[in-house]
Amino acid sequence: MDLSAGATWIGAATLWLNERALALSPWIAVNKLPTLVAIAGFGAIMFASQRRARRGEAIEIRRINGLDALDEAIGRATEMGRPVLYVPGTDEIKEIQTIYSMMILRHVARKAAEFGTPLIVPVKNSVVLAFAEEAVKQGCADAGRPDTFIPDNVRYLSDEQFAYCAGIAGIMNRERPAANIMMGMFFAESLILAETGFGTGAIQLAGTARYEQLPFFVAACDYTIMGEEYFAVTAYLTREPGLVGTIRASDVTKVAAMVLFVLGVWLATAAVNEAAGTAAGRAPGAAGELFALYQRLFG
Amino acid sequence: MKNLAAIDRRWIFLAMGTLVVVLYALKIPGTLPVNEYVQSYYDTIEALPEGSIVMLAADFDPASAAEIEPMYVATIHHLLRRNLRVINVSTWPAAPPYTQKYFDEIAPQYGKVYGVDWVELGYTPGDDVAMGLIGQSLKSTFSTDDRNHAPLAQLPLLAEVSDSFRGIALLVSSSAGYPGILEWIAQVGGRYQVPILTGTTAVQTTALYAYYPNQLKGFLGAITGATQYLQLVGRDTPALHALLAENQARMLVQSWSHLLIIGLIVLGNVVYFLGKRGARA
Amino acid sequence: MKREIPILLTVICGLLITISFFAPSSNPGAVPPVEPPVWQAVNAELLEWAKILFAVAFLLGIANLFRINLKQIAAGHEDRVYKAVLLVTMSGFLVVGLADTHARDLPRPLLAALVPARTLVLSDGGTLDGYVIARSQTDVTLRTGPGLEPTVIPLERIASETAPSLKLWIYDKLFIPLQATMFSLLAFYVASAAFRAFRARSLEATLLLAAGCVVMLGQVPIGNEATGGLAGRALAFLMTYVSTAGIRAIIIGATLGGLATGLRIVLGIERSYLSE
Repeated sequence: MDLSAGATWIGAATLWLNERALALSPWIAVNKLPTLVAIAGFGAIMFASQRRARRGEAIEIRRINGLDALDEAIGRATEMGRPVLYVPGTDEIKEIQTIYSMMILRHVARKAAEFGTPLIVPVKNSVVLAFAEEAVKQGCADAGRPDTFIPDNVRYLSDEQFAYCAGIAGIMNRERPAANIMMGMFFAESLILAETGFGTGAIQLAGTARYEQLPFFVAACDYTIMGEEYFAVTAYLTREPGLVGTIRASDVTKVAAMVLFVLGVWLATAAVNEAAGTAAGRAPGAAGELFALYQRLFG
Repeated sequence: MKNLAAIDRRWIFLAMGTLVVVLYALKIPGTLPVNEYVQSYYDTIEALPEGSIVMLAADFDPASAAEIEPMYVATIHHLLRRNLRVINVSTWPAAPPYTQKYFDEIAPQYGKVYGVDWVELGYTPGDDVAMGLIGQSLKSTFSTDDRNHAPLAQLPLLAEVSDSFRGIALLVSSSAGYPGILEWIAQVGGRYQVPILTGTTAVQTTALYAYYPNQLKGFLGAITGATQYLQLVGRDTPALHALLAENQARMLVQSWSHLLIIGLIVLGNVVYFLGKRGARA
Repeated sequence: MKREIPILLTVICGLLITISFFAPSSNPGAVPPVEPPVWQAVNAELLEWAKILFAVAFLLGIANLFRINLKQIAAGHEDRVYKAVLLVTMSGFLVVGLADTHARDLPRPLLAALVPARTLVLSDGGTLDGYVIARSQTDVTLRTGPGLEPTVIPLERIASETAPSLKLWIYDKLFIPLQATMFSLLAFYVASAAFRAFRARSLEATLLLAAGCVVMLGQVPIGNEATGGLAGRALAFLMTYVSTAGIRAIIIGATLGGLATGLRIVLGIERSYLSE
């Protein structure tokens, strides 16, 4: 496609951008402006989606296999008369995945309380301990069974990664939970936990957005919730409008990102082809200028 | 076939353990071709002017020392041989005893003086928050050094370093997980536009390709990358020959371990398909 | 007010950090940009608070360990012996480590009891045992002798130094082997997981196991040589294009999810992490 006809408007657009950047420079770091625009845009889409969800508009979330098995796993533990083990990950409360894990824990605690199944929650961090206790307590209250909350079942083991891992392995081997639910941020201990759990015959459900641990969970667990599915878990389980709207906003942004990627690849290719056909030392042509404009806008 | 499908996994553990012990005892070395990422790591350090200040972050612990230690030691040798000056920090609490040990062994070989040619600032809590603080103001983040617990003003090297990472030409992170290289890139690399190199464990390596060559100028992936780097640095560093030979021997162990795992995968699938055929029959 | 104050604090701190990130550079042409002093100070102060909270969490962890385990020891828990071992070793290492770090400030009896002395071998063949309290480019100040009095020793008199450290001994002989042992379990578990899980049950599973085999072959010299370099080239292709694309997609998805939650928390909309 010949881009040379648009050279004038590209130059005008670049000039306009330069003027705006100069005007804004006392107020904001101009090199970070694209980031701010992207965050603001994402936020706008998110609030709009949440509003639509609250108004009752149906927003579909596709089936996530692992989550359908959650009830099955807790039910299996109830039938076997064995506890459920919930591992909320190995990171601190400041990690977004741990915050999500607390939300999921509340749901699991509610289900376990409804079935009357003991729930064991080993934690790695003392601050997470307080949040986990609160989540389990709230879950039991949500089920109308506050008496089922056992504080000793939410256990702080150790801040040290492999000491925590060894502690959980010990719980798995001694108390033989029938269902292991591992949701949150995991590191090298993921495979040790999953394999030990398999060795005890438990059904295992894992979820993390930590990509390098996903293969281990996929290999060793019965169900794995991967990447952004993990962030959709709470929306899927609760169907709370705010959370559903957030999922929709993420999806819309991903589609927009894909469009931008395709556009960027096309422009980069056109710029390279144009440069290859141009004598060295000459100023870039329309494609090169357009690609430079794209890079300036989108980093 | 049923017995094979339901094999006690302890037989697999025994096979793996025996293989590793026997091959490790044999210590048969071999050379590896050097890949682009390791070469780039080496070249970036080689290109720095003498006297440049490099921040070396020890973001690992004993669990991952088997993979990280060779590349960390080789990097110290490389930096000191090139007469680069080193500021050693850590965001993992278990790392400082390692770093002190290595510098105690290596620095005298190059006639380096503590406080002038290298400083050890030790561990600071806070994970990525600490990295942000280090980037913003190194001297506010650490009040004393880790070796002598002396005020930083007594260390001549730090007089040339100021806020916002000024004065530091390169950041090298030996990273075993979180907090590590990804956090350094987010908190320091993008913000202060400082070039970054890293050596990581195998699982982290898959993500690093996405950051090369923009945010990362080069990286060493696991023990393979460490061995390749040792081949490059060891050419001019006799003190590394023993470590190089050790790592090349480890590559043999890793090679056959991989072949064992592939064999187990094939065996597992043979058992699976024969079992399916038997069930259909 | 129990919920409102934390939410208010979250909103204020989140907005301050965000504004400081986007604050204009004092010198727009500089590389790296010079952050304006006011926002730099705000940012640094908040990060210091976060760092302090982080460190306090360690203390909280120690207190929690004592509380929980002492309670279970008193209640006669079946594992009370192991819990007692945990508390004793934790306390012991804590005391030894603190003593080592603050050796220069310790009173004499505690110093002698908790911290092994350093041995300086002098160039005249003699030795001096003591505790280094200061170093300069010309000399070393050592607390030595029965009264542990400070003595300045010129560097040229010192031939070598040995520095036994109980803290490092525990670290080298106990901590390192224990951690390395736990980590090395992964090698065995990977083998058993590979045998059990990598079955070609479907197209996706077949692709997964094929990719895994290619990566394992290409990563090691034997595999690469046995395939005439094909495994290495396939590995490079897989890692550079296929794997990178997949990981970038997961990173983008996870980042958007994290961004959404972060925005909701910073703006005070997400409150489920607080108790009701």
